Amino acid sequence: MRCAFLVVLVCLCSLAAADPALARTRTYYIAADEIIWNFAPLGRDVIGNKPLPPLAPLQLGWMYRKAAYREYTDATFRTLRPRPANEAYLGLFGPILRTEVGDSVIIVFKNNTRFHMSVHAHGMLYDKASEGALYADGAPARDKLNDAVPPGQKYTYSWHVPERAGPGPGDPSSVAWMFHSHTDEVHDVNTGPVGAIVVTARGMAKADGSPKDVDREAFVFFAEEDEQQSRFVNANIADARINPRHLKFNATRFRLMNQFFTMNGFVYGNMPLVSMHKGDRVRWYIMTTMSDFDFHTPHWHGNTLLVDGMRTDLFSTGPMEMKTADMIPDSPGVWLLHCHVNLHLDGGMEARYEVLK
Amino acid sequence: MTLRRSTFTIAIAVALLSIAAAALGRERTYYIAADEVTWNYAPAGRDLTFGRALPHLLPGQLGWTYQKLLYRRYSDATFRVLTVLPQQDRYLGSIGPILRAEVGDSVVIVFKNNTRVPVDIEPTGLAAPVAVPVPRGAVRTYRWTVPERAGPGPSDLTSVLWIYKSDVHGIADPTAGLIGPIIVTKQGSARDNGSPVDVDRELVVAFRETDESISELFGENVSSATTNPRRLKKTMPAVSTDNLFVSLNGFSYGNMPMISLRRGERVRWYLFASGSTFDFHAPTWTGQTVVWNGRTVDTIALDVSNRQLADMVPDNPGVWELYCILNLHVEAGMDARFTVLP
Repeated sequence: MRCAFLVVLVCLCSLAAADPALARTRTYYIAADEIIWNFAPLGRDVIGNKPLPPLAPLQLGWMYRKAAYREYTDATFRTLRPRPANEAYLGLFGPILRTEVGDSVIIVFKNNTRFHMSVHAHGMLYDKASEGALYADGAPARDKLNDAVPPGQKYTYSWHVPERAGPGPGDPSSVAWMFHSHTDEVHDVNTGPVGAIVVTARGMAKADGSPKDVDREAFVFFAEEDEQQSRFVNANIADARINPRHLKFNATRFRLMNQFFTMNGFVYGNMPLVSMHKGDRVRWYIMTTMSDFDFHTPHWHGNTLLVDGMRTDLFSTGPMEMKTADMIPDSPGVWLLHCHVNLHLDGGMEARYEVLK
Repeated sequence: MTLRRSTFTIAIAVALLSIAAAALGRERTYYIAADEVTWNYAPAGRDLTFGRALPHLLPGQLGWTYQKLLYRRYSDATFRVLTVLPQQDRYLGSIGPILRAEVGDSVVIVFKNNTRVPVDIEPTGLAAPVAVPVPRGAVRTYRWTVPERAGPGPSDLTSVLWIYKSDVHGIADPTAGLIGPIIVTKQGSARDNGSPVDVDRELVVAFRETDESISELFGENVSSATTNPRRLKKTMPAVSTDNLFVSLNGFSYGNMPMISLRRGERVRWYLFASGSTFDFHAPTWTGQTVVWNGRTVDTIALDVSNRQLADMVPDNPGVWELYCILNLHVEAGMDARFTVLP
């Protein structure tokens, strides 16, 4: 009798857990801020243990004014939410938001830049008032403000997370979607603001939103950052701190020499080490931006991964793709993670990760 | 007992008959001609995705209109009456008619070459005799068979996409326009018309980079005042570089007639890329997600001459975008819009 009662109780509890009425609304405060970004803050090629390559004739330098999404603690946008030390490697990229299938997400956005910007999410269910993408979609004027939020203004986006925003039948317990500014998509993405939202399958999230079957998540964003396509290109050329050699704009040659092949905004091993322990269940989320040749082959030294159920240490990825790769590191040490496309490798698209015993 | 036994016998007989019917397969006949057609990449004369004027012509760009060679479907062997596409299929634009088969079927192609150059028609995937160039004005009949190995593999969906094209002058033929889709459905998973039973709406979209300067008809396009109103000379260096278009089914800058979907429909997208110099694409949809190779995504990878299938159940009404998210393709107008009705 008591046993039957327990069974009923367990059933009721699991029903309650699956009840959409109990789904959470997660609120995040995100601003697009203007920052000065250094692609190589250590001032060295850390992988080759040598100086950075000399500046190309029309290269402004290694520092550029960019925009980045940053997370704040509340709607006053006065206090940045501090980034823990083990997430320093995220660099230009982020923040990483979290949600579970069945939840809703509220993004209170403030545009602290001098340009119109927006927040456009992949994968989420949104209506025209929360798409954040400017094009001729027939939406009424009141649904256009979110597509181009003016400088200094705020906008609140509302996203839902139905089953079709979560893992598909061949996905692991979580997937990641990028979000980025999409007022002027090509230029906005090269300007910098890109983050990601992790969606965990229903019932698979820990209290902090990360998947239950994973010990460590790592996010790496492979991006050709084309500073000619940045919305700050003129501001950067005019700024003596960024352009100390007072170079003039040259339409044909400038672009090639002010393009950086980055991982989380870092080149030549300047990305802080991603750190994990031997035996951890590690999930890598690999994302790509959308420049002219954002085709990458991330390759991990030292350990292997499962991608789409197949064992590998390398896979190929293209513009705006978002992929998951699971690793249980068994080989301690500091290892390379880099893109194997020659052009990118020569251009510094390389970083290191560390497996502790 | 007797009754039960006779029911059993009938069931066996029916099963055997249906196996026999499936083994025999159907014969599906298509009357296809290669025609010379004047094609406009942007018939609305505007960038409809962003609601603005088209970009200015490049120095060596003839215009937006070119003579092309296209496969078109006719109603019978007289090749007098074109099969008119219903409004909802007009988005297919310049690609050839959709051919369909179920594994076990045969496809009979009655092909007529109405163009001024020798061309042919040959499939990928299906079993077909070696194609030989068909001279101007000639008619040829081909039988293509659809063995198991032309159908879905163990990890495929209930259908797969193949391509047919002309291969007399290599890349110049599909560049001129001679390319089309073949959908093969798994045995036992097709409706009478060949479409898969687990799908309500199928859409075929070609992501194409087309260099008109290597089309067979480029010389004609340069010498015609209709297609070259500025009378550019073929010897101008810019003419060899500035006639490159990126399009969806031959439409640039949102000019593809809007695809209209219903909320909750089971939609299968069949995407293919042509085989040009830089046919690397990243098709992306706004407003919805798709399941691609078992993964939930909104952006997929589609490269040179390859094909990808993605299933979508639209849940979000509105007007949305389908485009290639590669910067240089975004900027060159490789985008279209689609509607999801409530």
